[in-house]
Amino acid sequence: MKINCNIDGQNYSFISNADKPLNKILQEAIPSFAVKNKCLNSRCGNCLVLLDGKCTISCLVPAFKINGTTIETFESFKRTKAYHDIEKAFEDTGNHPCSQCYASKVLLIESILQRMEKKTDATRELIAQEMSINNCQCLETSQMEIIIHKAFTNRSKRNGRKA
Amino acid sequence: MAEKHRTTAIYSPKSLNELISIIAKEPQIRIFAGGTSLMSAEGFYPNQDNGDIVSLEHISELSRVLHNEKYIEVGAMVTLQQFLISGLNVVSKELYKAISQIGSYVVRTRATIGGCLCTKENRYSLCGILASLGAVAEIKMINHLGKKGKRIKVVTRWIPVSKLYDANGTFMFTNDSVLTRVRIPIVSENEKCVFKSLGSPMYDRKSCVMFALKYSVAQNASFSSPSLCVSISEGGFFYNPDFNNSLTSLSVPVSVNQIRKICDSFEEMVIEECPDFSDLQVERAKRLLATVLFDANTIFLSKT
Repeated sequence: MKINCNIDGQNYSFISNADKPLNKILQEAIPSFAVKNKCLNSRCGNCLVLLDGKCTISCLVPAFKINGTTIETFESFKRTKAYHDIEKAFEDTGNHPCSQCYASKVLLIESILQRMEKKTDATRELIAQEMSINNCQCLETSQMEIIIHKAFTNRSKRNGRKA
Repeated sequence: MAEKHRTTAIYSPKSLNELISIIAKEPQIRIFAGGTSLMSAEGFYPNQDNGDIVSLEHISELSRVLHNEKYIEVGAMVTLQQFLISGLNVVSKELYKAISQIGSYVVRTRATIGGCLCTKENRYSLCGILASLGAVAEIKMINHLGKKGKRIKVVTRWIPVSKLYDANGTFMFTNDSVLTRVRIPIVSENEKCVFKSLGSPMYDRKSCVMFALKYSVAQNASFSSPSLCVSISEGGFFYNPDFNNSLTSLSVPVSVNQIRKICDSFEEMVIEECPDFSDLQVERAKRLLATVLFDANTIFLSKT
């Protein structure tokens, strides 16, 4: 099957098996791809990407679903201003994810921030549930809650709105 | 990135009739709804034995949500997150709670109602609570007629969700059939719906228990129309009309001795019918039942 998509700002056109998972495609397309596909049955949550702007578990997306889409991995997301809101929150709070899950946690936080911008209340229960995708225990839910609220404040200030 | 494996063909029908024609020709074809179950199966890729795939994404009839005063009807391709948004002011809070517990937002935006109900062996919180609410699912079954089975006849039936699974929790309509929509009764003011779970069906598969009960209390202070369902992630689905009947006409408040007898009877039935429940899961289910009965007492007494 012929696939045309945009990965990290670059257009790709290639032939692939229609049922090939996206994370395997990304590992072949991008040598510096930060995703570590050590998961079994999507239990680790380390292969998150933004698919058309939405946080997605890439090992659950087959090739035939990415035709015509825009895919953003952590590699390109970290060059955006949106990432800097989150990075600053890590620095301000003194809490950082470990190197193993850093990329995944950043994209998860971005997913939660997008929902907060749409008026979803980021309660501790919601954060715990979202974080359950990534089973790394380097940060507690209470720490994540502080980081997320700080990141939202940073974003609101940058966007010129009241938090 | 050229592949050397056998190419998997992807079918993208635009209508139910087209879908049924495809399934009739290839009964072993893999149905792709949200893909969360299919793609997370062990050994999914690469696998030379993988059959072709039919994607339900473009069948608009499967993505509709309709509701009236009595029920909400949801197409099989409606995602869990879409259902939470559409049904926010319509469905019971317990159903909302049960669905919210399935995975995270990232998963719920992909997982579909139909997919959750039709996964062959794994059961999630949705199955049990829909069974207790008396939900029904529209199943289209394909019958092959004629000498060579070339002619097909489609039979449509509305089947209670409680009858979609055997006691081992296995979905019983996998071959030559398609679940197209689910009709969920709206819980009236007189009815009470309870959903509780111990453990996560996603991450504590071996020990989690999901408990759902719908009942009302009649004017003579007795249980009316109870409907109980207990399920586990792997290998167990308990829905017993005889047990539900044993709860009918139970006077509220229920005495401690009665609760103990009911729980003991429940435990015996679960052990007999669902041997795959572990000892821990049986005990958890029993304790949840006791908790719910005590809570029913509390609710009743607080109103009198």
